[in-house]
Amino acid sequence: MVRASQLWLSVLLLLVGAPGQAHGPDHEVIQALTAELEKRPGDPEILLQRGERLRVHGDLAAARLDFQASLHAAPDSNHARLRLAMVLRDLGESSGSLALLDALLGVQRTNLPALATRADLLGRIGRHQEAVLDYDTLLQRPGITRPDLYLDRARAVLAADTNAAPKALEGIDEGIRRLGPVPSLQLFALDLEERRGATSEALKRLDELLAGSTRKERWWYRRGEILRAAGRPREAQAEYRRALAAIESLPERLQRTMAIGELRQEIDARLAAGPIPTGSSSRR
Amino acid sequence: MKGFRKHAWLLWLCLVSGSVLADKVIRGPYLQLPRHDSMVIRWRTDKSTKGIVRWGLTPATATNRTSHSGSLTDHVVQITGLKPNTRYHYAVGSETNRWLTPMGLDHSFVTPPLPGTVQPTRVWVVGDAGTGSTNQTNVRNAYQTIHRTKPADLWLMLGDNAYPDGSDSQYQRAVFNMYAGLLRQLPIWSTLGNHDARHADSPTLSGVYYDIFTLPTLAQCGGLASGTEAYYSFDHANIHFICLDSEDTDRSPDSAMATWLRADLAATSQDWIFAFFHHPPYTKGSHDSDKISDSTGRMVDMRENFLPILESGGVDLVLTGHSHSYERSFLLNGHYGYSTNLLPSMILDKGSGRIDLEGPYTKDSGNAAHQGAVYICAGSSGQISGGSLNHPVNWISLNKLGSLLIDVDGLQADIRFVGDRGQLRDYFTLRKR
Repeated sequence: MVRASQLWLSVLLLLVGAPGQAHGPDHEVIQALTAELEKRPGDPEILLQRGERLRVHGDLAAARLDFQASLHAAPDSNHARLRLAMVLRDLGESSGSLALLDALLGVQRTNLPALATRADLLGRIGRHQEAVLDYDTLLQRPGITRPDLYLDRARAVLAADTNAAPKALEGIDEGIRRLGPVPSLQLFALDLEERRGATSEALKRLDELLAGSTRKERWWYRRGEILRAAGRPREAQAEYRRALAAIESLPERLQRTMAIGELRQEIDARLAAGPIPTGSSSRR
Repeated sequence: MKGFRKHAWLLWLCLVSGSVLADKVIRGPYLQLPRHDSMVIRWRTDKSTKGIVRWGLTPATATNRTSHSGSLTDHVVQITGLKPNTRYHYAVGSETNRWLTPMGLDHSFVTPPLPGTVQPTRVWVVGDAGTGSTNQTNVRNAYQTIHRTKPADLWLMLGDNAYPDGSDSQYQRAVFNMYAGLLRQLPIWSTLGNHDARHADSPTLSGVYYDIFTLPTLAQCGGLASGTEAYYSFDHANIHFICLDSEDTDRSPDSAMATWLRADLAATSQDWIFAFFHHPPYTKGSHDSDKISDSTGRMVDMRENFLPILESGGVDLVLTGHSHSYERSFLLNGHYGYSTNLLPSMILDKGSGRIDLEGPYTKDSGNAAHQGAVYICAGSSGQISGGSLNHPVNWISLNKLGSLLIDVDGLQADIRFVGDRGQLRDYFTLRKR
């Protein structure tokens, strides 16, 4: 049931905030909420509303006081607990934030904003393994569709164990299966494959990027670079030539750009150097 | 006579009961995800029903039918098999085959041309419009006068579409009731504003904003897949549009959004690149982009982390809102710091960009990096909120109501800021060599 104070607040915000809003306007709302708090001291809903407006305006210290007062007035309010935890995290008070999040998640295991906040906080304080667990729980929930969360989890996995690239990649692939061929995930995986020297896997991922791209010149060039680094110079040369052909098939206005000019120079330099073996040939 | 009375009574009863029981359209129809070969049509009815769209090249030949499965109040129907650059007429209806909207020009749309096609394109842009006030009505009316002569092809909303909290009822008032006629004809694209975000959540793509808009996650309309409706790109004619989420998505340099943006910019071959998001990188309006605390640093984040990527990728025009004013920059490049750090060399053209004054801003064609972009904060389509309006990157700063009209024809883009009474308050031209 909607509380009377919530209804009243909606009316107040509509009256004060409707035409104004957003900044100077938010100050007006904050003033109105402050005036209302004078009439109804300690009202947890009004404190929460004012705290949120203050937080958005970057006055974290004042927001914290409002959230604390709101939680004090309504100790069962998970919303106030979460808001306070978030502002404490942003103020760098990790232990206080973590205690609140633990308490909240103790009663609401699948509170998604709380899970995301705790995962982020745990990562910030170096407790990466625990962060991974929170990301796992979060990403198991239906409807989570943010590529960043998959990247954050993969980074946490790697921070917890530098040898855990396969696990990190598994998580990224889960994201690609769920969200589709998203370059932000594909490129992360490609970088990781390259860093661990998994040439054939890197090439496979590059081929997926190539398939989804109308402009292929950079991808052919990168293919060449991967092969060159893997000690396969003749194959690399073939890829450089494909990159050059891709550039030459572009409309003239696109060939004239500085970025393409620079790419062409790099390709020309590689081709001029010829198929000289470089890097380790022990890569897969 | 007695028999006639009896039948008339029965007829009246049928009509009355029919009108009471019949479903009614209470939102829309409105157009989403426009492609050269398909269009998504959405609407809401007061009762759950199976939604059907009837469509065709003329009202008389609109015999094609497409429906969604299940019984719903919020209807989403994608009609496919369309021809590029072609006007289609449509009506929405229910499973009982009762048509709830009429046929006619008022219920028709033109499909986009094939991506890359060079043809005149008009874009209408509103920012921070959603007050539901007389101001918003006047700005809309000023555009509608222009629309009657030459309508836009697409419509951008720069966020804060419904005040104060982006709730469903606020959207009904400030968007669906306000723009009902235009929504039936113009496909609409939006970015998330801070007020919209009060009833929306980007990580889960849930809440009112995400429920209302059908946006591409898998590059359905061009560009590269972002995997999220929070930020995306699309092509229309020879323009590549990029929508970023400056409100509720990670804005760090190694974020998924930044990585995607780099890849997306590298992949486009369109003549023009227009980006839009809510928080302006340069403003001294009702917000101050020099203040790190203002909007929790979002304006600084966008300026420091995303402008370098956009400018490297050859962006031409960056559209934002948030400040309730109109602020338009010179042709600018490489200014990622505070206003006090602006160097004269960062202003590539110190003129107005007006053909009849110092001449248009000119750039090389081909999305060349760092050839300059124009930044426009156009958040005064529903209210004005003042400010010092003295950011040094801006050629003009106005505390005036209005909306933007962008006309692209080949390698020339003419941009106008049209006031709430139809006044021409600013204009300039970008031209590519």
